[in-house]
Amino acid sequence: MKISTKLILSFSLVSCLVFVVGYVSLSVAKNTQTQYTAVIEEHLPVIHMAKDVGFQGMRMLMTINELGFIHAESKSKELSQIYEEEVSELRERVIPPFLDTLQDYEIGMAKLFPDEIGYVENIKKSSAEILSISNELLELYNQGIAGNKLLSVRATLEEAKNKFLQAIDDATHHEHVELQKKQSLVAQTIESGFVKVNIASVVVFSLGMFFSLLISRLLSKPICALANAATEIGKGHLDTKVKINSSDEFGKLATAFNKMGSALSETTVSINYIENILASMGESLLVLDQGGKILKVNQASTALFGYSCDELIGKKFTELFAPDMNSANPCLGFKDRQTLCGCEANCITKDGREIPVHFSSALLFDTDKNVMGAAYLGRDISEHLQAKENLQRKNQELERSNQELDQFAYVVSHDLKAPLRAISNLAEWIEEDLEDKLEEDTQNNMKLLHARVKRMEALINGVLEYSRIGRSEQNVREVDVQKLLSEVIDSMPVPKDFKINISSTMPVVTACKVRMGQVFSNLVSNAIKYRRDQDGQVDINVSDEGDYYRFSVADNGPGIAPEYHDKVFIIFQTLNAKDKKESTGVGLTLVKKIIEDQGGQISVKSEEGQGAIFFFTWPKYIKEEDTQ
Amino acid sequence: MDNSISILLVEDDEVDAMNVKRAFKKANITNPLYVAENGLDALAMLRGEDREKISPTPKIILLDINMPKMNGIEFLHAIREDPEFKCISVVVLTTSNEERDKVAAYNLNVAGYILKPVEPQKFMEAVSVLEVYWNLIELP
Repeated sequence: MKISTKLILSFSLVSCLVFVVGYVSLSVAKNTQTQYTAVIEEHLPVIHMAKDVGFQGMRMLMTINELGFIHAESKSKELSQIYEEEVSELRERVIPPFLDTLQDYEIGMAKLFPDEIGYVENIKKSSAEILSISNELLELYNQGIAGNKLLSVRATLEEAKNKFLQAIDDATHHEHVELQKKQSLVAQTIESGFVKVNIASVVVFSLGMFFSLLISRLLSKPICALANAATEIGKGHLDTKVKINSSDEFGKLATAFNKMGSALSETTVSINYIENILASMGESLLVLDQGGKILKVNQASTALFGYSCDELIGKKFTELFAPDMNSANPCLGFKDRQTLCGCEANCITKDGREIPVHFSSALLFDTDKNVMGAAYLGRDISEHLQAKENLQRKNQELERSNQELDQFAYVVSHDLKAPLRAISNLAEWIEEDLEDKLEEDTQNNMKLLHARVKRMEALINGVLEYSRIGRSEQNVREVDVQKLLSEVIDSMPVPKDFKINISSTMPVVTACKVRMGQVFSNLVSNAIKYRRDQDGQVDINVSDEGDYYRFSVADNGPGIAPEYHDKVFIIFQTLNAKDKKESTGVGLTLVKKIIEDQGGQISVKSEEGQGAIFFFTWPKYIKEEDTQ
Repeated sequence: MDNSISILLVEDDEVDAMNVKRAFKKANITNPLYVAENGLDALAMLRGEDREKISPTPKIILLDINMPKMNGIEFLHAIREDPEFKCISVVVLTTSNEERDKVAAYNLNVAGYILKPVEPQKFMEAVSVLEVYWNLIELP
């Protein structure tokens, strides 16, 4: 049920109750009025009428008494005339109104109080008595009779008069008593009405209070629940839910509120969540105010600097650095800097240790984009620096060792050459000096000796060449591969019927021309050297692979069995006996070293008898260290 | 070539020195040939220190690079700084195929830089070419 409906119903109920109270009050008043009207309309006229009867009766009696006095003095003519007038007055003007009044009274009583007609009868009886005695008395006056007779009649009249007055008195007294009774009844009615109204008021008040409490409770309970939930959400407990199951506006409000809470918790990170993240961070977090004072730290900060949270908070950021750092500390003066930057500085821990720390800092802005402080993320980089140093040392060692190796290869091969040459020379001279004395066998041996000397020289030259790749400076520039290939092919003896097909899409690359030329020259000369028959051919192609070019040199020669694919790149390894094809086994090793030095890779795809394709990649961009 | 022109060979390897001598003989080069074992030895011979000075001063020097005590490049430096030997025509005859050595040698005004061939036949050819060259040019 809607709250408005509840309110309307409650107020309607209270209004109904007020109406009931009003009705009760009105009905009491009406009842009282009816009774009061009855008293006014019934008893008072009757009393008045009884009093009128009494009054008229008394007038009549007084007139009769007067007649007695007048008669006693009526010796003169004048007086007898007055007497006559008085008698007619009595007969015409006193008795009829009395009788009329009495009759009215009787009619009124008969009409209003038929039960009490007895009082009227009494009055009537005494009145009739008075009238008959009056007539008797008048008769006596007329006859002129006086004396005892008159006195006794008068005494009877007096008696009748008393009876009459008594009857009137009784009647009026009775009416008064009745009136009092009725009045007390009215009072009772008023009193009972008052009680009724009071009871009704109390009931209505109680009901009103009850409904007020009910409504206020109905309204305040969900409002309190909502207010509490809002406070909780304000504290960051975004998963707080309001439990209102009613279908009224509060129910709708609660549903909307819960939805809002869920939406908030989905889109906003709760304080707890952030606190947990901060606590679990490996890096030290320091939040500074504008003046460089520490406002907030996380657990990692206490571990890094050795201070407790309380000791850190309020400390100046500068106090954390080694004293010699402060004059030229790259981490200070954050206000002048860009939003985010990193720096390294030596910090001092509580126990006096000096540790190198890398800080990443970010400025914090208020809503008006003013700098309100900065957040620093610090990391102990002792190990990192140590590792870096170790790596650098190892690298230097490696470089030195590589250089030494190259130098060694060079020196060895160079120094090997001298005795080789001496052997060659001496053999030659011996041959020359003993020219005619040599037997055929010896001559043959001398030939073999020369051949081996030649092979050894080739080997030594190969090693020299190989060592030179690492030692010599590279002249890096733009190289038109198409042109380079023409030059390479022109410089080598290509048999007439050997075809060399070069793709027309050769790129221009940034490279050391000599090195690249060596690669092609070795691959192409290999293809020529190991051609199967007369119609040998080699195809040179290229494809763009994004960061590098992929060249391929494919021949239709005897091919290389897959198990030797790795072996062909190893120095001094040849697949044929050296006597069959004079080869040093240095060429492909040289090619591999050159390519790998440039950051490329070489591979071979071949089956025995199917020709061979050498693929190699050449980066488009020279590594930085190479151009240095 | 004028037979009065003497030639100084600076070579530490005895066989190499013999090689040159044999080649000269084969090529009928009869000019006086002096042999020094290293740069210092050669300088001493040129200047006549502790020994008899070569006279007349050789107009041609055949110079090896890799030698003990004083190598070919150091020797070249020394003679190019000496006004008396400044304009001697020097031909480097070496096994060193190093770019660095070649550049250093030509910077010191050598007349040629020849790599010693291993095979005697090739060396003979080189010496023959040298003779032609020497016959062709005018020496101071």
